Amino acid sequence: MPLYEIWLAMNIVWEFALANLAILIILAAAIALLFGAAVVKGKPAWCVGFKVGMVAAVLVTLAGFFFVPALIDSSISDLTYWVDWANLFAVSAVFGAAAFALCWPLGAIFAGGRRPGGSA
Amino acid sequence: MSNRSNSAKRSQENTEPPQVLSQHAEALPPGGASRRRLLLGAAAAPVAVGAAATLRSAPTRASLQTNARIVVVGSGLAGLAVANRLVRELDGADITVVDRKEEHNYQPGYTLVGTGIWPVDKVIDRNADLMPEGVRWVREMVAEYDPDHNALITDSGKRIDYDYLVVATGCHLDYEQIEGMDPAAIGKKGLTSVYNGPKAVTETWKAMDTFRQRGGKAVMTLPATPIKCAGAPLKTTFMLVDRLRQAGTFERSQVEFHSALGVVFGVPVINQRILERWADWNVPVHFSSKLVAVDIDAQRATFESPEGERTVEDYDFIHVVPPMRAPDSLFHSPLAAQEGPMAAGGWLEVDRETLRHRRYGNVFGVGDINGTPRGKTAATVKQSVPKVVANLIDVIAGREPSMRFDGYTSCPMILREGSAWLIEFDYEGRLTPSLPMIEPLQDSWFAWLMKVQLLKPAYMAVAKGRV
Repeated sequence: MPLYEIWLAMNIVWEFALANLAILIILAAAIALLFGAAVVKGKPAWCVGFKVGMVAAVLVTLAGFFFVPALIDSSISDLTYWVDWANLFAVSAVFGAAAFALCWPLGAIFAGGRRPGGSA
Repeated sequence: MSNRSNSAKRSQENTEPPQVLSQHAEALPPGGASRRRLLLGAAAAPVAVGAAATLRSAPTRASLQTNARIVVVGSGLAGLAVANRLVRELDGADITVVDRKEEHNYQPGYTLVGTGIWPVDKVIDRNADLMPEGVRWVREMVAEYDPDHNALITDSGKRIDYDYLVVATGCHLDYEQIEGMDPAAIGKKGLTSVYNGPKAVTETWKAMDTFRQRGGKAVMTLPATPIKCAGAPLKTTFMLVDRLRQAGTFERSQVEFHSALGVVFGVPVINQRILERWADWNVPVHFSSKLVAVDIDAQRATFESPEGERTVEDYDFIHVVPPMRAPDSLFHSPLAAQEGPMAAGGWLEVDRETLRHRRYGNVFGVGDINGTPRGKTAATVKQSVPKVVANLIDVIAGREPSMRFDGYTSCPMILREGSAWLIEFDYEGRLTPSLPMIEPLQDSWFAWLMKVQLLKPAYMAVAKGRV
């Protein structure tokens, strides 16, 4: 891929992020809170949480094949060739990554123990 | 045309460049609002942070020290992109932007609003958010160009002298050429047009939405002049058919297209594919059929053939694409093309490769105003602005323009909700996909994704002078 196209793609991602800043800040705050809660409230089971996060990522990515087209007034039947599918996978994977970032600390919290003396 | 200036031609050698002080490599001056937004957004998302690090470091490059007075006329995409780049790439230049417009409209989104895909607020931004720091913004319009004296006069009578001029005014929508046409009536009695700003496209969608509920006869038009976004009349037609189908009223409707030309699109292979598709859908095309009058109350349109024969069509819905030309101030100036195919519209007379004025060597053009064969699109601006800026800097530095523009333009041709073609081509009409895997004439969800989600971010990056 030529350098210009890479530069252009980076700028598109950046401007897209700026246009959706509120959502991204809320998402980042939620992830930070969950990781903070996992650390503060008990003995997080990071390895188990990681597996939970991966499962969530895969499920959300697969689900993305159906809900991502609907988000932009289209449907999976509009996909016609491999470039469409590759891009749908890429977009769905972004949602999968967000699910992973949310579910990893959640899984770690629920699978982990509690600090000695911690409340139920 | 008769009152157009015939001022004497001025040779490029007569340009007296201002002093070039030095050229050196240094970090760029602060990027103003753009820089602050980059910093603000750095916490937003990991992917964006990664991009931000590169975006912030990339613009460091050699800058030219000069005391040149540069005037940019117009604050649309092209004017803003040029101003942002000049601020970054010149050190000490006196840069002025002349335009009264405070609202910035994302015009590539007009077809999306006009066909019910986007809400109108997505095409409305503020020029103040895109204007670079360090430029003088004169909130007036140019009334007169005086290139023989390197000056222009604003509509308040203010004289602005320049060493270099960049014309980026966009074009004038000449609805007046259509007898009976009233742009203020868009939205009433089935009268629509996706060109005349946010209010008109909002009204266009309301009229289309009403029309699709009951069906009827729709008349779509295309003028004979060069127009911006030559795909818009076609996209509107495709989407109208799609909306009728969604509403279940297509079978009892009649959609016909009147082109004042012998084609509906200037690139032969695309023209052919569109005509084939419309033939399959029973959408007839009338060639060499120019809209010359509209009776809004009676819902009746008059078309004229090149031989002067007139036909009248009743309609329930009409999409009017106005003839276009240069704004009056440029049309009547010595900068306008004096002869050839671009003279009738008074388009800026530029060399099609360097985009430098043919007779005034200190004048460049960019965007819709250029009298070039194709490409009055945002994609053309994206590709040509870096070349115009580089060539202008070459001229300031006493060199010949080094960059050549090949006429690149792009048209995401919406076919229906969820599908589009991502067409890119050059002056010669050759298809030039940016990425080799893209099939330009393949019905594509990816092209739809580009159009509805990704092209506006790209546009904003262009306006800020980054791509």
